[in-house]
Amino acid sequence: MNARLYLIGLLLGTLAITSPVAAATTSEGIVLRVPADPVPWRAVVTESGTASGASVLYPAPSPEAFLAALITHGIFNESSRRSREHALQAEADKVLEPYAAIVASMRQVNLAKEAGTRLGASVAATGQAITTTGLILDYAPTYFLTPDQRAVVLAVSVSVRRTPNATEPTYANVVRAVSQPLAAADPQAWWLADNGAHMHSEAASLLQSALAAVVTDMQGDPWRDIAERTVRYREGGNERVERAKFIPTGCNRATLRTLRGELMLVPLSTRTNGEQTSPCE
Amino acid sequence: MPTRLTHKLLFLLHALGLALLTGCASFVQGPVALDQQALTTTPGKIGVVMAPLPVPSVAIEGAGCVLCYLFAKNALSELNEHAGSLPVDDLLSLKAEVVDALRARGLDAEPIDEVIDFTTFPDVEERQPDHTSKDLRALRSKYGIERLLIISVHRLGFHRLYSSYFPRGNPRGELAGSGEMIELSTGRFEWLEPVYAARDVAGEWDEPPSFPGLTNAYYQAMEAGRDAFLNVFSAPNQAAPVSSR
Repeated sequence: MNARLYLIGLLLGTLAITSPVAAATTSEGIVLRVPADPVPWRAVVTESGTASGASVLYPAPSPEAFLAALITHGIFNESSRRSREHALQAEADKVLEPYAAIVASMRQVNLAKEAGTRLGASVAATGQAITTTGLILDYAPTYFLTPDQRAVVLAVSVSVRRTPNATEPTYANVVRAVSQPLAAADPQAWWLADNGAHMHSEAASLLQSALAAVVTDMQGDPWRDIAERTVRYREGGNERVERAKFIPTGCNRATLRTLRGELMLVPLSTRTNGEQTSPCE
Repeated sequence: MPTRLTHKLLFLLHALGLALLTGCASFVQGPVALDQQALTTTPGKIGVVMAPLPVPSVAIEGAGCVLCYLFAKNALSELNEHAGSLPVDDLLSLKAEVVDALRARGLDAEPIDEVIDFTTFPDVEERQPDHTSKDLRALRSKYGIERLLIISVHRLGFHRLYSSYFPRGNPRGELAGSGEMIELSTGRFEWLEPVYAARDVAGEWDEPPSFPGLTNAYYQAMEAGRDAFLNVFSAPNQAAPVSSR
């Protein structure tokens, strides 16, 4: 029953993406507290860090020396891993170079207004006092472009408070929302068209969907009777796998609750067993 | 429903049998790429058997002295305990999926549900390269098959590299196995390759007691391993992805 209610809520959220009419997912007022600019964009790094490195021999003539060697090794390992990750990220970020002007012109408040209209939420600009009651959403989004430029991914941490100055949030979670894979022959031309209108619209849609999922998730426990399963989904032209609880939301999409309790909104792979629904278009 | 101990014994029995099929240390049998021609001519019926799955565990590699190994084992004991509690159910359908993939290519394939104890078969008189060390011809009449395809998963769970006492990276989700197809009348391997898949954890790995990030990597590796087995038979001219590492 809870799952059904959740599905209806998410469906309303999904419909709001294509409809100019705002779909409120809660009877409480929602306020989006806009984060500070800029809007961060990164590239999805496909190559994950691997267990590698040369064999290490440390002199350990005494237990103290051994302990020191162990700590040194830990620091060295962590530093190597981070430097490798930074190098991979810097290399991957080159895919964003053609979009530099569009990304630089993107404003958090514009995305929030567009997402807020679709969500039926009001927007409080950075530093603006909030006087209304309801659900106050603080969020920190980062957008990612896949290496093949066929999908935009939003990773956003969201915390919800019922009063503007509450120190502890009522609810906090991380949402990862993946756009439908782009079928266009030239994805770069698609995103760049019209001064990046598609890119802006997709970013706002993902933000709206992610915030709608949070609002729905915090209002019950729709996952209680759902078993974990292995789900295959699309991230641009790549297929990804996640072990998660799974609620199909139509249009070949699903909401997942990962093993860490985070939410994901993903387009399903055709190989996700038996849960494929027909496309919307 | 076999108990965990029975399961382990069945796995060990099968592993021993497979070791005997590929030979002992004095005879090194290298990998054999899938003979696509064998599948495009008239191969007769192919029996598909799957070895009992291992209980998931943590594999420690590179801790090259007894103390180093004990040190690493102790450091990973909680993860090992968690690994043992993970289900392997997702792989149980692999045999049927391989049969389906073969049938989709127009081949006659049947699953064999029995566990075959290869140790009971007689040795061949003279071991030839790319041939089994056992005479398996009796299986032709027993199951009415010309070829035997064996899917084996030797290791499942997590893997961490060490250099003596020191870890050389985070643990990863891992599946290590092998695939074999044997032409039973001659004992020739028409396919003998390792299948390996490993996946890194996204973010922090050390999250006891449920290790959600690593557990996800475990399932990702399992799916990658499944794909590696299936891809061998899904496209005639496609090279087998023996490793996704």
